[in-house]
Amino acid sequence: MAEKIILKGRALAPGVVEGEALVSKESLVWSHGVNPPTGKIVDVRVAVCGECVKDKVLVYPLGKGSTASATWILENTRCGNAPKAFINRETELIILAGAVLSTELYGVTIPVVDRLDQDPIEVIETGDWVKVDGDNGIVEVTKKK
Amino acid sequence: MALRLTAYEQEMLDGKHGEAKQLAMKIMVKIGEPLGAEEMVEVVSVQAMAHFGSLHIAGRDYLGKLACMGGKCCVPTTQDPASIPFDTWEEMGYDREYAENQMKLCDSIMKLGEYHAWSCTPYVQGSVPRLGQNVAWAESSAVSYANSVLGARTNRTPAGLAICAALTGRIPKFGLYFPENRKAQVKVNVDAGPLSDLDYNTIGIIIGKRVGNYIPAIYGIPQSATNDNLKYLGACAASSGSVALWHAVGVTPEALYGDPFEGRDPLSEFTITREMLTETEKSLCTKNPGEIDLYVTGCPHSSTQEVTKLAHLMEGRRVKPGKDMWIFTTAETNNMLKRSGVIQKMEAAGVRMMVQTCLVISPLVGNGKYKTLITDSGKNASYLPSEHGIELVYASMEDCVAAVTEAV
Repeated sequence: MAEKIILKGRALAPGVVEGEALVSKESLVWSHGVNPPTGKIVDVRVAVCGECVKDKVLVYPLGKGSTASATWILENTRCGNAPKAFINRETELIILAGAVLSTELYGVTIPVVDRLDQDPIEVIETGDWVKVDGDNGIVEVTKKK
Repeated sequence: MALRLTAYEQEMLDGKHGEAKQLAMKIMVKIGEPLGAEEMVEVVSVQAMAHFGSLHIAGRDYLGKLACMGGKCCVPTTQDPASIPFDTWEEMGYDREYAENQMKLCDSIMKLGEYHAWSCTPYVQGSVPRLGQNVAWAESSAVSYANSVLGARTNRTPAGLAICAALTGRIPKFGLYFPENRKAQVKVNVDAGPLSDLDYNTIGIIIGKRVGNYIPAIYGIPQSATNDNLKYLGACAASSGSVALWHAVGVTPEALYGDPFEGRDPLSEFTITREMLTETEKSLCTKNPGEIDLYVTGCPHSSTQEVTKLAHLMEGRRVKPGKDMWIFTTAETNNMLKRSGVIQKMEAAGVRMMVQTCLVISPLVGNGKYKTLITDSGKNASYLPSEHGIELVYASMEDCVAAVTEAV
């Protein structure tokens, strides 16, 4: 039986999903940082450059960069390349707005959870299976082998 | 601790004032509630976004939907520069489909009742809030200016949320709308001798990198700093970091008198020296610049004073064959300086006025003609190399003009 870790935090956007984690130790910039038609991270300044965000539970420290980022997230959603969920140390407004707009305009649910009781960047690794409960702010991590 | 709505706000949410206001309120409640907002604030103006380079098809359709629903802005609303120059896109070789998408966004914002502003400097012309007034602005450099230089109050409003505030005149109250959240957190000393225009950019870049999204109080900025100097400082701090508010002690309104820390200890403190400025200037240049092809200036949009200064530097000079010089500015500045003949003279000398647009959010046309750019904007230096895959030199306005022009 694989190891399971439960984290509790702040529920920002509702919905319950599960998927594979993609973890970035660095903050991600969506505007010009993720290419909506492919879902690939194209920001050469981050280590996860080249990875695809589609259907991933995306874990990174903070939202940063341009206030245009919310519409970049929305375009990823329109193209079918949105992440399954967002987990941050501290979610910035641009991320939450991107998730809420995705639900209101495209019916795509993207749960968002932050301020967890353990640091998600340390606890979660790329490839772990993560269940995100955006209604209650609960994250269940199943470690990969 | 739910988000309390006034009777009118509840009516908007219930759809009594039309579908567009209802959708806008729904989105704002869904964002405000989990963030712990207990009420909405009324805003006196909105800076939105409607450039195709960031809105894409999804944003185009979103604004189109709100316009079809009959949405109308109920407070003065401006928007960031467009992704094409409206008058010259065809001649300059912008892609037609891209331009048509920008035109559709243009139609929508006209239907929604936004001003035809297309500028990142709405604080120069458009909607100028007073000290203490609440606004909902997008555009990180404009947010920085509104909060810091004008003393108005706004968070870094995301593009898709700003339009909701425009349609309802409301935004959830949290963050920088509370005076207690506007106190300084980090102390920055500037000890670098007399400051040039370029130095204000470089100071902003250093501060953004060092403080992230904390609120710095900067000591050592002279009262004689121009509005343009403060514009660049703020724009750069917002592009290398996420600084939404900063105080220049003795200069900006919320730090004119008294202690910007209000008795609390700074979380940290550092000093910017001349050596740091020189080192950062170098680091903003890319590693392998070739011969300079193009000078770009006006990020944020050049003011009347800046274009006038450029015109003085251009006297008796012209743009060298094979090189180009683009000035990004507002329609208002361009028109004002046309009335005095300044623009015509510069255009005759080979300068191109790029009106109501921006290189950070639009394609670099020219079919690969431009390989090395020179700029006097720290924000341009932060964004353009990665965005357009080009080499870049960061230098003073005087050096930039000298690099692409020759005596007649």
